[in-house]
Amino acid sequence: MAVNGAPLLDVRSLSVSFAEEKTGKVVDVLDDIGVEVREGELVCIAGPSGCGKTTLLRAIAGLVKPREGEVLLDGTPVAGPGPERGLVFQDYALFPWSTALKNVMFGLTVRGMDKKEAEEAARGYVSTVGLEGFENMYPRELSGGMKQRVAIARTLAVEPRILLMDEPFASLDAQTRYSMQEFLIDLWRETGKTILFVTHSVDEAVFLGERVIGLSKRPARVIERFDVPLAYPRDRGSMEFTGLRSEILDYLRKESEEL
Amino acid sequence: MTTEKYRVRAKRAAIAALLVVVAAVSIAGCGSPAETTRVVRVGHLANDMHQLAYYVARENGYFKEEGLDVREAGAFNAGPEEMSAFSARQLDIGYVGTAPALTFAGQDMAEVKAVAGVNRVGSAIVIRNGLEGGDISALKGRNVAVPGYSTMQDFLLRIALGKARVDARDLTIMTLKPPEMAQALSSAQIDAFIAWEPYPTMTVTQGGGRVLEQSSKIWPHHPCCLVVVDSSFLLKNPDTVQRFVRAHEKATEFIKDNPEEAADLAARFTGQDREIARKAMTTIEYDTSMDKAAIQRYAAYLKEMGVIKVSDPASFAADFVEPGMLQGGGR
Amino acid sequence: MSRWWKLASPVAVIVLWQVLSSTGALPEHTPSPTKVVAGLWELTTKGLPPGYRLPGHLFASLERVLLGFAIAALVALPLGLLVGYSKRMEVIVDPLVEALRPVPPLAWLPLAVLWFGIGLFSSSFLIFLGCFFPILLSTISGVKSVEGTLVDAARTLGAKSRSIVWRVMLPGAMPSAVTGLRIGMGIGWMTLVAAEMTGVKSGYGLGYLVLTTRDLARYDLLLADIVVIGLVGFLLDRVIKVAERRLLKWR
Repeated sequence: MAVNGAPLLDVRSLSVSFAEEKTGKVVDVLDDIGVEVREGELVCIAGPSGCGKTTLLRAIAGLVKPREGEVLLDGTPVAGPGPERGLVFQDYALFPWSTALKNVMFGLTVRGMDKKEAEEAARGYVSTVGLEGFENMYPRELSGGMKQRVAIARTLAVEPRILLMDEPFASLDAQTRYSMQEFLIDLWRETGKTILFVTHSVDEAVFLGERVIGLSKRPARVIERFDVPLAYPRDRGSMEFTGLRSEILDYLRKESEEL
Repeated sequence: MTTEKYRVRAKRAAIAALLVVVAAVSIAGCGSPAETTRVVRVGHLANDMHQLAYYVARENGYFKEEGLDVREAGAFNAGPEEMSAFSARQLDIGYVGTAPALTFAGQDMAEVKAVAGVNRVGSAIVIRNGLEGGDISALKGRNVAVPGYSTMQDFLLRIALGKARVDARDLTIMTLKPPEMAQALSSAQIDAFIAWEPYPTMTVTQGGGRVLEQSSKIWPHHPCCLVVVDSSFLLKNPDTVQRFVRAHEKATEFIKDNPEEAADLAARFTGQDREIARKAMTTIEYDTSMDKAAIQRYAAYLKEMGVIKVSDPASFAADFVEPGMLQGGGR
Repeated sequence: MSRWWKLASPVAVIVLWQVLSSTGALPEHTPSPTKVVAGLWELTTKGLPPGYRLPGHLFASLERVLLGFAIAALVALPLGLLVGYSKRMEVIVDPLVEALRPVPPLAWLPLAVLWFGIGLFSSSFLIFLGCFFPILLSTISGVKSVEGTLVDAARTLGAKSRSIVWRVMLPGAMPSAVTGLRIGMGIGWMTLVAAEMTGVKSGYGLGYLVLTTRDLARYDLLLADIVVIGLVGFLLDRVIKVAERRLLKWR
């Protein structure tokens, strides 16, 4: 339980480098990144494609080891992946051989929960994401948006402390993307989950996030942190929104040019 | 060109063309049906000690002496393979066992006649050393291997069983290729086998078993390998076949008169150890005579087993055996 | 397209064959389709050698092939999972596999008899060798083809190594592994004739029957036997295909 005032997730001076597989050359991907997320917040990270935002999320999730710095969850450093930091992938990463329901049950049964219990719990989450009636469908039978909702339900089922979302709507068409953004906001307001959302779209980041953290291109550095003090639900058409969005967009553009 | 030069050239060309045609006709004329050929395509069984005469005839030049051009058209691993080659008319003369020859001839799968014997007897029943017993009754309730269903060895086994009043159904008879029999015997997969030389001698020498019965005891002088000829080749080239048989007879005489030298040749021919070859040859009767009655007896057995469908084994055997090529017209 | 078109080429071949046979255009001694059908009847009612009927040959061969195949699958599937998952296992196992794989099963024949004696196990061993490598290699390839993100997802959901192997690698490798099973079964069935040359104690076997028909110059029965071998091979493949469709209905 996060102490009042202390952030739930604290990323400190995180630097990640990779050795290129073929040449062995060392490439710096993240440079001294600092991110703080308080409990219940919806924070977005925006950065150009290829800048390393995915790597940042994977480092937080524990799938990648940093060269320098640390990641603290509830004050404790993380080591390796685990269900308290749920990760939602851009390509959904659903198990194609399992039905939607079975996918959602995975995180529960894999840690020993009784099958019947898991099934009941999973049904609850399936219904939370609005996919009641689609439990027995296989991923190949579902649309992109539905697949992503199953992925979210699967992650929610293990009751993570924070939901890490890696450009989850990037593969979807514009219509679906907008409806998924609205869906996410509804879900967030309903469940109160802490969400760290990564995207290359500043528009999306500003639409969703209470705060937006802008990253430069590779090696990624934090350019600036913005507050988005707009009330939910947000209206894309409103002047406050478009104004704030342009402001943030311009700033980031200018700064990354200079970098 | 002037007309005069042209005419001269044309005349020369015509004469040349005429000469070519004449030459072509005369060459084509050679090998006309009336002429016999001295080229013989011969088949035999690979590394087979019974068929030593073929190797001897070749090595000692007997075929050449008879003016024959013998082409080795196949060294076969088994009699039926060689008979298939006869079916496909790829062989003129072959050294082959009585069993496959009659099996194919008796079903009209090959048109061949036997013109000379190659050897008689030369097989034995071998029992493994772990078992007691000195006679055929020791085989009761045992696993016995034969080289094939209704082969000569299969027939010999049944004759032996009959004489010892043992019911064949009291044994388990299975088919194995002779090279595998020694190994199967020494590892007690089988209790006994019957096979042609050199396998019995090899097994005994290596300590895998002992001879229970020689085939010469079971059916004295029983036929084994024969020289068979494609029927139409015989019809067209009787003189060539005659010469071949003469060379074969010379070789057979040589083996009988020079056992030591013959053993050396046998060791070379079969790749076998020289001493084993020498010993194995003592149980083989190298003989060119053919026994029509014996062949008839075997043919009757094949008919009884449903392998061949001839109406009368006697006339079938009489038709199959052609003794006329042998010196003295055979027996 | 009507399903009857599937039969078009076999029927055409048989008709052509009969025509060629009746007009004497086929090589000498080649049996006609009618002779082959008669041969099938003779094998079923009388048998070859007499008393050894077709059903007996069929079951003996099926027994050998299914035994060899089952053991191959039971060994190759888990081993494939392991090797696909663990780089270290791959490095250890790979040289041995690459050395043994190109050896035709038949070459093992004398050793098979030495180790297992004459009978069910020596022939099943040869069939095992034929089935083993396709199943192993396609399972390994199947494991490697599992998307990295699926493994990542499993790990973030709390799965440990064992669960990842059984609940992600195994189902992920299934499509490829099942293809390997089909190929393996095909090779195993084809190895039958060679396998049954190790000597067949019981005197029964479709491959063994081939040798007997050859020895007795019964090419009509040989072709009948070949027809049975081909048909059974086809049916075995079908069975796996049906199993595949059910196992992989998520595709």
